[in-house]
Amino acid sequence: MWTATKTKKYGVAVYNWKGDTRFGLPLEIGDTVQIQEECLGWYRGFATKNRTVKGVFPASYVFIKPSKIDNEGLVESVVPVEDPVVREVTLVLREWGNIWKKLYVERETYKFNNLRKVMRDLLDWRRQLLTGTLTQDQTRELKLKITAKIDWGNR
Amino acid sequence: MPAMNDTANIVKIAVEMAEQVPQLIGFNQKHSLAAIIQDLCNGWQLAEPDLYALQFTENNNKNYVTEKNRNEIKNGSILRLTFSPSKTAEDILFKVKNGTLDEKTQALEKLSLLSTDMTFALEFINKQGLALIISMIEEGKCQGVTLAFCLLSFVELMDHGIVSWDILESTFINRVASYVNNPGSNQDSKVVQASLSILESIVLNSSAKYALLEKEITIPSLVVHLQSVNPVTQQNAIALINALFVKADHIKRKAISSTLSSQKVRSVILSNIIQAASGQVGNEMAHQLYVLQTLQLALLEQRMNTKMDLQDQDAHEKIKELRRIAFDMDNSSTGGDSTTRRQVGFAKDYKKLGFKCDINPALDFAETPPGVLALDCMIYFARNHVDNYTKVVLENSCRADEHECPFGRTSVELVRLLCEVLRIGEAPSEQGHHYHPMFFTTDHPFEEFFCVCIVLLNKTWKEMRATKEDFVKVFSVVKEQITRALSGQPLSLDKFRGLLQVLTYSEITNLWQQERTSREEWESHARPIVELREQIKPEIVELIQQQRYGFLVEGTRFTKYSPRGQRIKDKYWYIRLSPNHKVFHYGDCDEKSEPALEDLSNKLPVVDIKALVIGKECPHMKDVRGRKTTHQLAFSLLLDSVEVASLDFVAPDEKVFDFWTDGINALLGNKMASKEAQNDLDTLLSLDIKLRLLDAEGVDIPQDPPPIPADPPNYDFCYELK
Repeated sequence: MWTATKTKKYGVAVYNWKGDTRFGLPLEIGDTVQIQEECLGWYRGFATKNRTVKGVFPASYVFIKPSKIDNEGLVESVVPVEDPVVREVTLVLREWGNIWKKLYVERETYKFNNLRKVMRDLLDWRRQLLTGTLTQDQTRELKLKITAKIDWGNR
Repeated sequence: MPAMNDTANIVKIAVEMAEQVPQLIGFNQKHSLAAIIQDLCNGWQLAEPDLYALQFTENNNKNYVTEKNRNEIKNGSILRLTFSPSKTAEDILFKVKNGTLDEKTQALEKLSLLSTDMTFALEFINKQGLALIISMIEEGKCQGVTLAFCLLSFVELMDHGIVSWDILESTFINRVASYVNNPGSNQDSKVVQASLSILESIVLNSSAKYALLEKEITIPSLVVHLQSVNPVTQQNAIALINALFVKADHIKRKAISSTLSSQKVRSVILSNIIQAASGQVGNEMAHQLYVLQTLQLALLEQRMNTKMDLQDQDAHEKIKELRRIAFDMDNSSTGGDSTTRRQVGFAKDYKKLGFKCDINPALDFAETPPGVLALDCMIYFARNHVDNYTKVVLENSCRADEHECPFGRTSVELVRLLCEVLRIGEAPSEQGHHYHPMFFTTDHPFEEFFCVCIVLLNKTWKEMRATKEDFVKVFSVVKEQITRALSGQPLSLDKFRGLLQVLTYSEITNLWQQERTSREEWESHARPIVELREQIKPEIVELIQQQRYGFLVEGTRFTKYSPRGQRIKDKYWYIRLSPNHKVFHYGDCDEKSEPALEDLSNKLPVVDIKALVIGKECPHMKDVRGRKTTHQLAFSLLLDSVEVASLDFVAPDEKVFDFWTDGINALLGNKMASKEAQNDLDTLLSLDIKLRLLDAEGVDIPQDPPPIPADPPNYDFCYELK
């Protein structure tokens, strides 16, 4: 019996799946998914990178992350519970990733290399924030450093 | 078909026998052992095959072959034909009863070796052999080697668990105990070893005999054997101590423990066992020392699990003493102060001491673990390391910012952590072998351990510039520091302190960073990520291709070369690809100009290109001799047209060479094979993968695909399908 999930609403794929089953939704490792309902080891939902395609996928392929639900039901909105700075860095990195590839094609070598270095720094700092081994002071400092870098990059 | 089956059942082996020529036979696993032995006896013309049996001849397996273990015989095995267990047992019994001293000794030696084999042991015991051995030991007439083999045989025979340890009489136990208590100077060391191991088995296997044995054997008499130069004797002595320890009740355990913690015993263990082996004791000894320490530390469990009783005057005194040592060193306080004012003042002091409940610090010890054990450790620190104690307390109580490290709260948590690290309260495991040499150097190992660690905690707290909110993080670092330093098995508390000195906070973060990097390294080879790489690769290759096309469209100025590979001075030509990637335009130019497309008069449609060749394959490089390396940068387009057979290039540098050959290869539908292309692919792919995995940061990536459940029973979704 398919039932709507209450807390298991949001997760990340930990393995690639071809989706080779009826109504299967293929997953790539690292994809984030929003889950609507579940049934005997299966979830049904969609990948956040393409919300229009719905399908089922094995629960074992998904690591559940904490999330907040608004407006429960058919048109519910699910927001992952994350540190806002971490969230911001994620979004910025993805956006910059596209710009970075464009710089590559246009052979803007200098900017390309610079941006790469900054992105690597951000990746590193983001990871430090996530591992949670920093003290409050350090976290505060790191966050300042990150926001400064982002401001630099957006200019 | 039966013939086929038979060959499958036959193993080819050799059988030897004393004073006989060995026989090579096909050993049929389907034939009975008796039949096979019969055949062998016929081969050697031996009468009475019933008297014989087969034995394995491997180093670690000299057991008799039985119907149960015969499948262990493999092709190429060598067996020995020998007298059967029954016959051998009878022979030994006869010699032991009636033989000369020499014959008796020989028979007992043989018995001690054969007794490890269950098949033989059963035969021997059934023939009342064990009873004979026991009565021989009880009589106490044997001496030296004879006695050693006698005891060893007993150990081996009992080891199979066929006979209960409860059958032993006190005469027997007294006799064996006497070999331990009064080791004659010329006594064989094997006698003591076997005796120790017999007594250990009695303690462990026969609760009825424990009381008797405990009267016979004292810890000091066993400590004598710890001083032996023979490691096996030492090992067996510790094993017996551990056995007595483990079976004792709580009160007796305390007594045993205090004997063991005495300066004398500790120094024997430290110098005769640990230092004698240069800190590298054998595996079994390490296990015994581990068991010993685990049992001793287990005595702290009771305190650890007791919360402070609010009526406990003694504990209240300790709390007051903590305050007094820290703040009343000048002794000028108190006098006519009223009780209430004193209470208020105390509360302020308790706050400075860093208790959670400054009104009533007793409540800080309500949680278990660590319970009152924390208070024990704190008062020990205050009394025995006054300088360090006042330094830690005053330093933090005088800080005006939020960076002070609360002594009370952190001490309680630290004691809890130490209990966890040392696994206090857990029974010793069969496999454990991690002991702490430095604990043998002091009367109060746990308390001293705490004193070192609380100083470390304060240091780390400062290094981290931590505040109260960072409590958990500081402890995760401190735990790492302690466990890492302990794993070095320091021989003394000072050495331990030295190890901690090196493991600063920044060192720990470095180590963590390294671990993360190597984890990432591992993950980049994990199967799902390799799969993902392959999936993204075409997209990235497409990007590289676009970039190369862009480069070709922009065009390049090349130096002219003669058809024989000679550079022509001051002559240049320019070539670029049309924006629709269909035609190359080229023509002469000077050293500075970059002619536009329409200024280049010659045209070469891409479809006319037959092939791309590089290096010495190029027409203009065929005749180049000598050491010139020009050819490494040369490439040519071989054409279909008649008037021009090829278009020949020499690139100004490697990068231009790589870009051009990549671009042309892409146009021709070939793979881009240059070093630049590979570099670009790696750079683009690795960062792209990292970006795709952002949301999986910190999540464990399985190496193998997770299991896929059975298909769902239906597809009646709650939310309609769209």
